[in-house]
Amino acid sequence: MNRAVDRVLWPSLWAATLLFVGWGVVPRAALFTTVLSPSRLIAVAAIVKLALLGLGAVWSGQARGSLDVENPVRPAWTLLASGLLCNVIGQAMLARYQLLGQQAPFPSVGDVFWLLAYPLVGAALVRFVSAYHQAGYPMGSRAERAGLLAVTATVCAVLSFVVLRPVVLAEMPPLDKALSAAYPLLDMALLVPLALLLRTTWHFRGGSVGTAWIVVLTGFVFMCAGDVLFAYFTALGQTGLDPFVHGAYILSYGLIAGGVRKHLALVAS
Amino acid sequence: MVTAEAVQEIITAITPFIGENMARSATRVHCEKLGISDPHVTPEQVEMLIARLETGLRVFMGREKATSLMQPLRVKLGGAS
Repeated sequence: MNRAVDRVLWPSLWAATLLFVGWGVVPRAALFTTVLSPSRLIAVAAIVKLALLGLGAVWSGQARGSLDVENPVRPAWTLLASGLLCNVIGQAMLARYQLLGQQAPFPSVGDVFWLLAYPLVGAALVRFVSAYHQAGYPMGSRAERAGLLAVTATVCAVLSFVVLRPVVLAEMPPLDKALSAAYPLLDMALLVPLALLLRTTWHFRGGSVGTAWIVVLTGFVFMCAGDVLFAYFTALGQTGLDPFVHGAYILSYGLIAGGVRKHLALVAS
Repeated sequence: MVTAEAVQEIITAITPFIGENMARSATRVHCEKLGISDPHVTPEQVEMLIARLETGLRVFMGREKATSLMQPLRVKLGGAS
């Protein structure tokens, strides 16, 4: 069963990502002007994103359920599953419009769920770091962690300034502007616990635990990239670059789901 | 039992899950804490080492899977069953 899922999931993910990158690179190719018109591609993107987020949420919930009640990682899986579920609801609210070929409103009620997902996912990442340290694995000193935290926070602050500049300067209604700025800001904040967890799980490289985490965390990096691209392109009014945003999100959600699947396989195998 | 051989058996068993780097580091740290050194190790010390590493594996794979992974090692290396 596990292998059957992997055989479908990974090739489908690469194919879907390549499709949207291809659309972005050669938007006037016959394929994208006839069979796969922009409205159809947006509908495809909506379904793929919803399915991948749904799988990520379900598999996170299953990973939680497969661990004993006193396992210190269980609350982290609960938080991650809840965060992904919020993303599923947000995406479902957008998909309603995208499947009908309508322009999705921005902002919308869906944004409440997208925003709610950030603290849940951030808290999940922090709980994972904490639980792995408590498990007694040698992972370096507190000073090293503090150093990484300081460097990541500084880099994220600089990146925020670069990314937010066009958003702040853009002509947009105040709520649109606030939300356009909030997403990349929250992404930058998310990168801090993400870097900590990456450093922690990097110690497990070469093993199935390390591989599973590298896949999940790469997914979150692409999610941040997608949000930053979305805010940037929206502020610059470059809707022609949307295919790359769709591609980044599809890759992100697929990697998160696939990585969580690998975690689940650790318990189930 | 020769310490190096027992330790190598344990490292080999857990490497596919936590990687060779962490398998070696974690085993070394637990050996130091348990006072395990060359050239010989007792079955009781092996059992304690296996139990410590099993606790660490539980966070990733749960109690049942971690126990089933370590049980053959207990049998092979003569730790308590």
